[in-house]
Amino acid sequence: MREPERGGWYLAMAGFLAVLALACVGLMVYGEWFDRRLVASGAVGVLLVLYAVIVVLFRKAHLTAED
Amino acid sequence: MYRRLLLSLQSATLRLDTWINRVLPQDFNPLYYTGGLSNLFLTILVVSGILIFLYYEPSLEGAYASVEFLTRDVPYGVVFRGIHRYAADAYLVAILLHLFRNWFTDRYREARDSQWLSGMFLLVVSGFAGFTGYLLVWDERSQLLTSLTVQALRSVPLVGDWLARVFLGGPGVSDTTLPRFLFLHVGPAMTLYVLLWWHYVRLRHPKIWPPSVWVLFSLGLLFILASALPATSGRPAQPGASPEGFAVDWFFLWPYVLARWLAPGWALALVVALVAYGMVVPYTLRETPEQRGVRALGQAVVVEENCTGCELCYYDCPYNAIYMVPSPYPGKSRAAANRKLLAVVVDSRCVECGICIGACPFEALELPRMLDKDVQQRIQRGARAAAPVGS
Repeated sequence: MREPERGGWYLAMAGFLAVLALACVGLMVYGEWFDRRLVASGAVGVLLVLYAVIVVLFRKAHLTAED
Repeated sequence: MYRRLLLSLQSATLRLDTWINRVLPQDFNPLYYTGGLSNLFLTILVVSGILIFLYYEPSLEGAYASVEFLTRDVPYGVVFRGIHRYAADAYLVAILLHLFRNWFTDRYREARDSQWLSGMFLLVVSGFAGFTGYLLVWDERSQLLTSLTVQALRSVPLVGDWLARVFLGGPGVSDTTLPRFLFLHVGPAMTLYVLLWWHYVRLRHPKIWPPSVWVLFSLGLLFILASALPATSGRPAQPGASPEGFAVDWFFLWPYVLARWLAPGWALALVVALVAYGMVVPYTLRETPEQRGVRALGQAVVVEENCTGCELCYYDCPYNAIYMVPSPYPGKSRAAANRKLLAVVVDSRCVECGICIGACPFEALELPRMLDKDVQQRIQRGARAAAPVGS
């Protein structure tokens, strides 16, 4: 079922998560630089989960089609 | 009673699907990819296992120290260890979801019993490989698990002592024990791919890999778990000591939880009984078509003079029941006159579903006992089901 009225909201959420993903990249650099590897690997995990959620939001906003 | 229970479970499973499909796009529903998710976690296990294997020393003196070295001194070693450990749990959860989903949605009987049986073997071998993984750390938990397992094996009539000796690689814990445990961990894990081949060999379009969303999400979750709750060892095993308790991993070690109340031999007997029941599940509700209130339609038959060798039925049959062979002679219809291939139905695999008949545009397949009136009845039934209420 199409939900065009919520497309903007999904995109806004995806944008917000993309900013969080960028913060995760910062955490990865911080973790590696200061030898806090669990922080770095945790940031990798959060980054991957955020990417997954962004892909779902893009689909729900009808920006991508089925595989 | 059993049949009614299965029907209500089927209904609950389908309701859960509907609910998830409201939240997620339908092709992202993770319950449609429980098999693919199992494969994903198995692949992660193999890759992380190879990395851990490079550092592991299978000896009584060196095993614990090598695992600690990996965890503390190797860059990101603790993360790889954690990913290996949590991927094993996730793998077992995915397998069990896959098993229950196919059980509750009635996709385990008749022509699918081969997938069910191979799946049971996959579950048992995976469980065993997971259990032996706990022994390799050689901490207090490994020591206690070894002791309980030896007790359970020794209680098996006639062959108990022999089984215990095979398990330990000798009459007791010795220098050959850890290499034996390593073999009992890696050996079964390697057979999983052979069992997977058996699992898939009769399926035409299996979903062997989840969508990228679930690959990203699963990997991310494993990284998060491995970082937030790093896998750690207990105290090192002490020769002659008899530790009493350990942190339980319910996924792989549930029989040892039962050992609090049952003798180890009875816990082993319960596991064997559960596996045996699992193996006969596809045969517990055997019904003939007459018992189901439908007439057997007979296996599909190729009308050879019409077959053009186009392979549409071959690609569409979900049960791998149709093979293409070089055509020994030309067909009679104009379309079939120059064919190179001919379809052949493997009777033992045909489930009389009629998909091949729908796939064939040349009327080269038929269900011999399906009459025109059957087709009309099916169409009328379908039309009634699709009609709006009150029309």
